[in-house]
Amino acid sequence: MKNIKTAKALSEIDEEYIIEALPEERIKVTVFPWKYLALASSFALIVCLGVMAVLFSSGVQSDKSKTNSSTSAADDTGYEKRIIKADDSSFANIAKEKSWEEKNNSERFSEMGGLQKFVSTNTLVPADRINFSPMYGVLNPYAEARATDPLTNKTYTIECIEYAIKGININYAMAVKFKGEEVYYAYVNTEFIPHTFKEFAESLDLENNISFGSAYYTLNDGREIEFEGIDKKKVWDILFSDTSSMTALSDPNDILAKGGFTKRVSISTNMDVLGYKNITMSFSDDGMLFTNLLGSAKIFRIDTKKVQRLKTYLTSSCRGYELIYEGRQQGESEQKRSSDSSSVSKLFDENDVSKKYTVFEITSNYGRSSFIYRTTGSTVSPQEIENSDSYGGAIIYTEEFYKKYRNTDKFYMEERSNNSIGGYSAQLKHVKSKCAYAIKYTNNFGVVIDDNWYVFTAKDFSPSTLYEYANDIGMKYYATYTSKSQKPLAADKVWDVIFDDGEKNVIESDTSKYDDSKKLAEINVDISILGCKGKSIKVSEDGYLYADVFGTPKVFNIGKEKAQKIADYLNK
Amino acid sequence: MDDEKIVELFLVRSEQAISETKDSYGAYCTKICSNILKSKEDTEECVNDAYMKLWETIPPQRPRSLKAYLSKIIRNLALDRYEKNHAKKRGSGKTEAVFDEIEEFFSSGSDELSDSIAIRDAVNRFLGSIDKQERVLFVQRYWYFCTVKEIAKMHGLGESKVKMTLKRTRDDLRIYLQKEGIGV
Repeated sequence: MKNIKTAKALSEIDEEYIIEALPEERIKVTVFPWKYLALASSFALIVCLGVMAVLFSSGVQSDKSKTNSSTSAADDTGYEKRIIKADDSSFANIAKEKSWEEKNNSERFSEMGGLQKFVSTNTLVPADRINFSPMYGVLNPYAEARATDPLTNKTYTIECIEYAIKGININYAMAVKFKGEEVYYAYVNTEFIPHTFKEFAESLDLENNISFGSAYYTLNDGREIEFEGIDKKKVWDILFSDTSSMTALSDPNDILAKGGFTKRVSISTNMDVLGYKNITMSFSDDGMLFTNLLGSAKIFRIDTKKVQRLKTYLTSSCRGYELIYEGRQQGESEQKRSSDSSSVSKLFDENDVSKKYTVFEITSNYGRSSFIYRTTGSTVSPQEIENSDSYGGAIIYTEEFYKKYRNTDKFYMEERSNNSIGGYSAQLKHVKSKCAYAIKYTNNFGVVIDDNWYVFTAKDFSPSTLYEYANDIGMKYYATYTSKSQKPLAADKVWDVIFDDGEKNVIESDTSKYDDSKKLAEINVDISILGCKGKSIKVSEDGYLYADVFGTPKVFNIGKEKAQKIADYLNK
Repeated sequence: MDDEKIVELFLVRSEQAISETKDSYGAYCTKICSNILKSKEDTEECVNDAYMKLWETIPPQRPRSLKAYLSKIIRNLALDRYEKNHAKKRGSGKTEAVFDEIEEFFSSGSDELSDSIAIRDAVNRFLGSIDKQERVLFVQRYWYFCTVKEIAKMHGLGESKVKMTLKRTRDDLRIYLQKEGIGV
């Protein structure tokens, strides 16, 4: 039914429109004073983070020529010393609250939007970056901003127009032109959290919109080396040429609060179009990338090898200076290393989950059918996974819990949370999902705890024909064959002789039709990707083929002529 | 309990997640479902299936808006059930009227449907370009499957005004989709 298909396609319209049109709850968003205060404090936090970054890079006085002659040879990093004197005059400017009249419109109306809150960065967006297209660029020609002066409690409104910024996803940022002005202010959505770095980078066109300042390398004793002359393209290629596995961690604030992120390298990052200067992009040795770009903490997984290559690049290709902060003990850094390494290991518990959680199921048809998969214990490389940018979800159970409680009420009770774990599921290339999945284990917060993809197979595979049997388990691509005398056989030849015309060979429900006493020939089969080793295919003189390669043994009717043909080939 | 806390309950696999979802959104889910299915039994089954789907997909999903996420799930489940129940039936009915209207988005005589992602993106762009009231009426009618009477009452409008507005929006959408090369 075509119109039902259209109706289903409409299910995927923007959530914003769905919520806007809620039939019984028509919520008008207004700005209350306490919201404004919360906003002001979060805006101040953003600015403070920027100022702290300024202190460690270009906003401070430094003396390049001085060296610290009191440094002992044993402590010498080998880098020229740079003395940093703190400049706290900028703090005074930030602390002072402007009056309504002193503020510009983006400072007055610093929050826009209803359901998605956009916060001003008080940055002018050049007109050539504005998308003026009536269809795609003008987001709301009749917007109205409303705000309350915290000093007088008076409420103001102003008409404005919301525009898209070229190259930037409208869920992340927009530009606003207030009535009576001809300039455009940048507003960002600090609450929009991407699922992957790829999404983040593409939505903001980071490759073209950001620039790098200095990089800072934190030594084990807390001392910092500043590296200048970063080649942005080189750094981008090292870190972001392949972002396929850079997923976002689901609770970055919690990770930071528990000391689960320890900075090793940070890069000062600017995004001028949205007004971000000296924002941090930091990397840890254990494979995390932290950034507060767009005003909220985000942490992504990153390959530890990339972090290592970044470190190598900085130390071998860039000029470095050891930073000496006046008034601070040598070795004391702004971000102390967490001495609680167990907080990281608790977060990433690698307690051999692959041996403990071994069963997962997929239900369909309103839960009436289940496909059950069990681990083979084997792993596959990411290259053998389909669509590695987007994975499904999975819950993996212990065998004991699953067997005992699956068909009882207790399956959904509290015991379940103690006997299951989360995971990402992905299809294997050339193997049908009804036969096998690849699973990557996560904890129940979606944090990956084992980087391997484990193969799970469904034993209740019920093909109709021999071709379907061989094709669905990827035999054409993965199977290796040996004769009974252990002689390797050409896989493509075996495929041609046995399976290529297998559409005609239907499965027999009665497996006893294969009589081993009438066996004509036999070959050994391995499909290592599915954990199938030392399996066999046999043919009998009365025209039946027996296969125990995958799942329960199956028998197919292939006819006497084909059985003889196979035997002639194998016995040659 | 707010959405964020309920999602956290799903994440820690607490059974309380389902009961909290029921408390917060049970009536809402029932409303969406019954607008489409008109059958108490089917509605109850669909709503329970939606909770199951939430349990199975969070984690690793972590929806920003649980309500919107749940709405999409339950709407799709209800449409699946509707399709299954009415595969061979034709006839009048309030839900059928909505589908007849939806059919207008595409040129008459068109047998092929464009890719659903293309439809979604085009409709999103269209909705972003129209007046808020038109958009709300459209979504209430073709997403929530509210009756014209219900919509009129919610907005304090006459039924004929609602019908006219919906007709105009459908016509505009059809022209828009034609320009986009969808449903032509």
